[in-house]
Amino acid sequence: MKNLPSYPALIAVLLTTTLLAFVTSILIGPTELGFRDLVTAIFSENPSMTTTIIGEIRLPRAILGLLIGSTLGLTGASLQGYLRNPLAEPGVIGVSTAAALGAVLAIYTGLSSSVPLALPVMAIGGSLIAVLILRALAGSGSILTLILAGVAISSLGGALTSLVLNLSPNPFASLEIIFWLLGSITDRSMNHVWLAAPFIISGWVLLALSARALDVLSLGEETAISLGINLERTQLFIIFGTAISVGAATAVSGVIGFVGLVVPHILRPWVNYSPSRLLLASALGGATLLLSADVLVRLITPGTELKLGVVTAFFGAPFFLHLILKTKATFNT
Amino acid sequence: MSLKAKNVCVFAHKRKIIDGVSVELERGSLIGLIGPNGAGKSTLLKTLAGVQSRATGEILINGKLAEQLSAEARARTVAYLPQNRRTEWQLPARTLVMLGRFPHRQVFKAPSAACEAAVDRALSVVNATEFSKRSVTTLSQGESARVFLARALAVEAPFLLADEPTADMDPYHQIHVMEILKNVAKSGVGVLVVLHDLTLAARFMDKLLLMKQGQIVDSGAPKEILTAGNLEHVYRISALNGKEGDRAYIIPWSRV
Repeated sequence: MKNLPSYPALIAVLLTTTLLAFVTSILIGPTELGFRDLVTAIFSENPSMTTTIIGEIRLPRAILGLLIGSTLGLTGASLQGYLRNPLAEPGVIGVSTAAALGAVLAIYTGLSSSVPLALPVMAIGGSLIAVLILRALAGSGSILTLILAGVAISSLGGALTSLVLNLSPNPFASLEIIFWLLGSITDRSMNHVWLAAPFIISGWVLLALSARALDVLSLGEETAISLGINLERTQLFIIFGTAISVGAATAVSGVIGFVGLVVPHILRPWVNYSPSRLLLASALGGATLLLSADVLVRLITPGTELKLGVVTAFFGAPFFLHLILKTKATFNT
Repeated sequence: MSLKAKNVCVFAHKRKIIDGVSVELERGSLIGLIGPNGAGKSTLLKTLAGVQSRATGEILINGKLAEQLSAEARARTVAYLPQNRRTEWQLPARTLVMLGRFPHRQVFKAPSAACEAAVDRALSVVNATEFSKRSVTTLSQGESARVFLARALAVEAPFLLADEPTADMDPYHQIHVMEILKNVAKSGVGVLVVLHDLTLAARFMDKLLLMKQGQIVDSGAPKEILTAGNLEHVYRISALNGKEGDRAYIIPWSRV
């Protein structure tokens, strides 16, 4: 591609789109708000209907959209760089599935209704257990064993989730589980934000620390080691970073797929295929995409909102097929 | 400066792949590591490069145990060109070569002028300057192999370990790569090359190490190593011998 914008210019553009999507997310909803309402709400001293709607409903939703979208974009870019596979995604190493299983168990056992904290904590616990199993199975071994272990954990997690649904004696609990699995950031509160944010941000830090290693890893593991990369530490940071941030994100939003797949793929040519520069770009791109999708679900069917995960899957699945066909085409030539 | 391996062993799948090998690589010499398939040549090269984690024995860099050096210091001293020379991403050739400067670069800083200059030198040595802006995935096999060689040269380490650098190349490029390595050695780098092509080995190498079943069975000048006896016992072949000027050459001819 010729005449690429410079990296700072690209980041500036993505920051702007993220900010626009964030503000739009606060303004759009059943109660119509204008930009002026937003400004008065920020600066007014007295609580009013508008400040309550913004502070209690719209703001947590927008912040979560920002955090979760960034997480999905960032982890997708990290895993694709680390596994050197453009089809990689948090789902690939089983982290999303395991987090979902933890959350489903919390709903099934009723723990989530008696102790609200149980749902996110068990989701993060699920993703951490997945990581520990991954470490035990794949150890410091090759990337191939890691992918195989991830596929195994994904299928096991999926099977156990189905088992829980199957055994659920209470149709209401099943319904709750199914709706939660569809993925959404509707009706979340600031409590969700405070609960997820520390985990999500520590995950980001771990991933950011391995950015440089990703560049060298594009030459393969052996060359990377010969250039001074500590492969075990890099693997530890990327897997734990992904587990913590995706676990916390899944805990709050349910399963939202394909963002981590689509965003890095679209942005890669724009950063001249540099795996390290792709991280920040994908985080911002993911935030923009998720916030926009979340605005879209409110606009398409205002009465019964579509679930966010359903919408991203509708965009993402055809894109995934397109990617596979393209990969097939390059292999054939 | 020296790079030494002392009594190195590598076990894998309950088999000894390297069986008590000691070698020493000096600066300024071009040494060929030869031997039939499965003799342990690549494994020995990986062990010297610090990429083979299952090795026992000692690797000494300037008389110091390699493990005592920081990863960066070791990377700056020993450059390694593995057999796997491909990348998933469509990186521009120059960006790929710049990765060779990784152990010299500071975190979160743009490449220094010295790094840029080293990359330019490496690209020009392999005649890749004209396509340095193109993506490596669009280059021909010969061009891309030269870019990967430039990546290893860009480290500008005192030692270079290259695993079959002429694989998949036409004769023109094979000879070109051999000449590049010869010049690199002349500039004071200790170069160890795994080679399958005995004609190239006889023609270009200063010294040969002959491996068989994980051991170095003979070492010396090419004409001392590529004898009819060694070729028959280690390679199970016979060869044609000839002479061009004062250089002896051989052409592998038939199985024994």
